[in-house]
Amino acid sequence: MAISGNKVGFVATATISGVDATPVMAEVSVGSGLPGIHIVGMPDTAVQEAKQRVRQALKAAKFEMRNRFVVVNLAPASLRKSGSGFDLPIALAYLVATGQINAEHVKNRLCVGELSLDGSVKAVPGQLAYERVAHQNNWGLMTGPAMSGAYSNQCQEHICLEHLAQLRSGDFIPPAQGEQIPSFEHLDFSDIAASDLPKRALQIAAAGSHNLLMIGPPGSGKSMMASRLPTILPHLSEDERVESALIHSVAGLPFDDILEGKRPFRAPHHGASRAGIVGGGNPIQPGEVSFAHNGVLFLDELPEFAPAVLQLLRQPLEQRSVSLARAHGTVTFPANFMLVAASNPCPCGYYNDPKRSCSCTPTQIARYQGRIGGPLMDRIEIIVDVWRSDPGNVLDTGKGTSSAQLHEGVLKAQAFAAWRRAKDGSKTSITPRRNLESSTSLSDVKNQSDLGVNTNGINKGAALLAACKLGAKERSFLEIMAERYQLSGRGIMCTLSVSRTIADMEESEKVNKDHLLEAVSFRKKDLEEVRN
Amino acid sequence: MTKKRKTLGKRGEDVACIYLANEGAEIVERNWHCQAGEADVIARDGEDLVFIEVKTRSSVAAGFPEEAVGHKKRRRYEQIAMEYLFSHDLPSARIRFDVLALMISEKGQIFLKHHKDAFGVCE
Repeated sequence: MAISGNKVGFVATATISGVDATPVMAEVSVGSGLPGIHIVGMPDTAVQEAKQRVRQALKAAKFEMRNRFVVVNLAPASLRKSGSGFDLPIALAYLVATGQINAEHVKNRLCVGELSLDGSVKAVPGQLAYERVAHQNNWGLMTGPAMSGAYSNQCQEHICLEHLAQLRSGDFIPPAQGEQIPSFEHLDFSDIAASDLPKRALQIAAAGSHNLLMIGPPGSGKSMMASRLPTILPHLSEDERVESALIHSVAGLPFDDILEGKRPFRAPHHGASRAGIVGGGNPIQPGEVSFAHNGVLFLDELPEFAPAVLQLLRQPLEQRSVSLARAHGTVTFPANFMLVAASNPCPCGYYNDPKRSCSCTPTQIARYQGRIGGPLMDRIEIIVDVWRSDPGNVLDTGKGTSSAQLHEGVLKAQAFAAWRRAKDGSKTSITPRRNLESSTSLSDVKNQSDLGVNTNGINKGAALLAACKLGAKERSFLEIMAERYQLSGRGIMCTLSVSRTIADMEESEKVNKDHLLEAVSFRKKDLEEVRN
Repeated sequence: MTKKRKTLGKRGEDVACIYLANEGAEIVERNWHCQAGEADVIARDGEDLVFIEVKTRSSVAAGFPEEAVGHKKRRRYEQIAMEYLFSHDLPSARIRFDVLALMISEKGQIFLKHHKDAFGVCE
């Protein structure tokens, strides 16, 4: 006991900013003076309300909770704290300060949880982020009952506290292993008969993580194809699982599928707000681009999105992360996603349709297509037309190329690309773009070049050129094509990167003319501009 | 304030003091005045310095007596306690706020409820 007569208790906890948890020390001092609980250390409203929850929960658990002069300090005091996860550490620090529980219970343990008025403990969003910080600091973790996550095996220990009364006995339970709910969606590419060209385009996009735009009339199966894209995507690597699950965990979204290796597939409605897409709010929450990290962001009816929202995608598409600057600091969320978009060619939907005439004026069409904007269009590597199927083909559903077949092709390309990189890696140093991102909060995840197998979409410049191993013939062919179709600098690079993926699919070390030709054909926009 | 109500209040405080003394508390002050207001009873209960608001009613028609100790009254008691601590040089005393609710019926029956540790500051 200190000389002043005040009794003090300390419990380690953490607060979340972005996708990272920052360690915070909850200090509780109990002394004499006017009774009341005072919380200091930049708490938000939810933290302030902890007073009432802690008081009632302690009483419910039959601990002594008398009105005393109680000061709670959340150190470092200059850091803004938010969320209800501080209830448990405050209650524990109070119990330690008043000598009602053994301090050993909280020693070297990161405690986080929300209290219910009956004394039971609840888990809070961001479990994985807490596990991560506990793991880094070599602490154990004490939370409300929650499913064990990716780190729990590495975490020194992870214990669940269901009710405060358990602290008396010291009987803690390990977290329940989450029940595996098999999420069987019977979606398969074989549902779509014919449409081999769009399927091929999707396969290339999946293999190389290229951005893709499908243009076609209503009912041509654009959304149907996009919804089947997850069935052919390669599985997430170990590190990617943790990265993606972390973002979902922080936002309180389920992440079981991700831990099983399924790539996230996000399809926000076109009414999405800016904050909903890139993230925002107070406290700052990740947006759809971050939820789609290591996965697919599918924007159906692309021109219907607010132009301001679409333009926000440009930065994350280039930097593979999104930095949100606010008055109280900048938060960076990873946003390494593959953009898949679908659009009608014009407002009525039948422009260029061979069987039905379009009723739009040229101005309408131009305005409609212009909503997407040149800079965004330029970042889309693959543009493919989707046509309405003949009635015969529609009735042939189930007989088309299946997901399994396409998936096999994707895996083959991925394996070949990995082999190719390992072979050339040392001299040409092909690095996925995100390796250069030191600001990304996940920069401490090592060996990204090992996991970045399907990252042709983000190869850059010289490294890409070296990887393509163009012969003199191919080089002059590309030059002619670029000249003829007035490809922009980025257009040429996109073409190269797509052709590299196509070559990978054919397990060819060199990119040849056929690969280039197919890649150029996907730069439809450039071709059309020339035609007009 | 009518004379009748004043008498009722006075009688309630008398009863409260007898009760508290029986409970083992030492009455320090009665009707202690200061700038902030008046504390009905100040007593010492073990280590605690207790400020007691005595609320007396003759019927429950207007609600239970303790319900009348609202937010404003609590704030006032906190200020009174501060004043008392300063004037008596007791900055580190352990403070408690109690509410004694009394119901005195016309027949003279007394119902009493003692709310120990009824409130704190900053709520």
